[in-house]
Amino acid sequence: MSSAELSKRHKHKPPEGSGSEKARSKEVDRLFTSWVSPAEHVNGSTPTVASRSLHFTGLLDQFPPSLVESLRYLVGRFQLGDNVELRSRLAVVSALHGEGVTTISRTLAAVIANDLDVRVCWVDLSWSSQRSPQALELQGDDGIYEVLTGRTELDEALQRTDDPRLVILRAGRIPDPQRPELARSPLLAILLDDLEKQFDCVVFDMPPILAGSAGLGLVRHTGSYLLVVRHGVTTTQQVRAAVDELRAVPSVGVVLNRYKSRVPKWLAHFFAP
Amino acid sequence: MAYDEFIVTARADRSKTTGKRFWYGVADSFFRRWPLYLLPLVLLIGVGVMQARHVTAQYRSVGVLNVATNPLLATTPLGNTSAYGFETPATATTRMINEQLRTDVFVRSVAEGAGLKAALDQHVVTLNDVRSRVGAGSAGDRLLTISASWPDARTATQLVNSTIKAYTDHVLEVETSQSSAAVTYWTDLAEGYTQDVADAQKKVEDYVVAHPEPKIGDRSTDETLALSYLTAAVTQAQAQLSTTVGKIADAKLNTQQATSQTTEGLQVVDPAEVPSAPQALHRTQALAVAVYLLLGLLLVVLMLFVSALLDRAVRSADDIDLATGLAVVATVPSIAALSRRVERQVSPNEPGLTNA
Repeated sequence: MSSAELSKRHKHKPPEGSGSEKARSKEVDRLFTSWVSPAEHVNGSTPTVASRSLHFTGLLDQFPPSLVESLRYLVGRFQLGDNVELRSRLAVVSALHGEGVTTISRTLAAVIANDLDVRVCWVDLSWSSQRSPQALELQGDDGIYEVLTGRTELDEALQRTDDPRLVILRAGRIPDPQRPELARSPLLAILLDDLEKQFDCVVFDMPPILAGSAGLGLVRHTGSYLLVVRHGVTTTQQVRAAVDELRAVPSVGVVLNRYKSRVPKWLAHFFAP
Repeated sequence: MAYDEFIVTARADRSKTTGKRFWYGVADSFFRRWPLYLLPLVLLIGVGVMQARHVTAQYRSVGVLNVATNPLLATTPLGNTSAYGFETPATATTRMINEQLRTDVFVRSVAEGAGLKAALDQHVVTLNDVRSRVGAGSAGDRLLTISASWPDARTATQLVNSTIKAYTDHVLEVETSQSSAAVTYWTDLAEGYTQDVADAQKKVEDYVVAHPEPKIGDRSTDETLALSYLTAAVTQAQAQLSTTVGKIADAKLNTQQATSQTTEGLQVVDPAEVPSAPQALHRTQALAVAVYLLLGLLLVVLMLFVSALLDRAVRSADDIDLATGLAVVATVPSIAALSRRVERQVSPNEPGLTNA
């Protein structure tokens, strides 16, 4: 599916009353899993910025504007240095499944690449998570597992996007028994070091911290973490537990995801601190 | 494009925001599940409407009493000063009547006086039915009203009159209890003394019969002494009897005086009359609905409070700040929620939004 088609699909408004929130969510999920053409690989070289002149890739147009705008707010804080420092390795993590880590991490990677004009690599480390069917389908592409097992080269595993400053590295076809072992492999650390050298920023899509041991095993490879919390679902105790587990890693902050307040605006302002 | 959801304000003073966070949680809980919260309210209002539909027409009868003084309070050392402060005679009497209406004995006497004894015995009417429909209220310093509502106009009137009579009897009973007891006591004694007099007289008569007066001369000294002794016993018994009779008279006088004071203190100004038309139903029906509405609101508030207290989910940036000390650096709105808002807010001429 081309970028233009995706853009057209995004602009298309669903008929009145035809889409529930779940249907919209599925639509957005499909959009995220098809924003990269698997066939367009980087041919033998790391992606470089061809020109430093201002150009529009249109990649961000494929994302919901509300999501992009929210994460632009975050990146803006990165730029201002408002108690938030963007490190070269940024893990996007959550306490539980289904909090929107993949969505946030992908969009954040695209926004960082576009707004900060830096080379960004989005790395899928959440291979132990419960994935959507679309994500599982794309997980079948060559990725980390194939690179670590010598079946392919890193440059071949890196997948290009519509934005030349942004590439992605998928998990690959990892057999289930080898997933815990892979998470603790020294080769993985070497691979991630290589990525850090090649890119200005590496964004990790991490498995949930409280849902298994993989998250804690992988978080040591990251320089900082961004915690995604789903509004109205995750409890404060779960958030506190996740932060306690991650105390050894610097925190960038928290993204409150899928925020939806039913309180009328006038009433919300009344209760505002 | 700027939405409120994107804006993350600086951390506020936690001590000042805790209360607001709670109330925000209450409001959020209500607006998220308002059908759930409104359901019991609607159900209770429905029950109230059903109750209102079953409200029958009531006849209301009223009697007015003038209370010159409160005989019961007058006997207290503090006069008209009760434990709750100064009370007018009307207020004090109203309070006492309503207190009496809480007792089964009094209510039963009222009901029986109104001709409801058979209904009570057959459990067609309960004491609570009577109790809930009779009441007293002050209407000034000396006037008080006693009212009763009943589906039957004549019974309503009888209930008022019966209540007045029952209370008057109660006051009389209290006021004359001592003097009545005295009458009873002295009357019992008087019966004994009367017997004593009769016995003494009989002894004299018997002695005279046994020792007739000699035809010639006087009685012997012994007989004279014995007879004088018996005569003295008669005199003594008669004196005791006379004293007792005086006591009885005094006690009866006291009773009469108390009765007179009571009847003078409690005068019926307007006797209860048989009402010609029933009361309007609207007020009673509205009251029934209002009671259930109030119950429903209380239940909703209770549910909201419990829900807000038990809800541990993250609802705001402050929740995360309080739980972890970490700042919320971005807030991503729900896609569906924001899409609706974008559709509502975006206009073709608004720059930067037309491409969204």
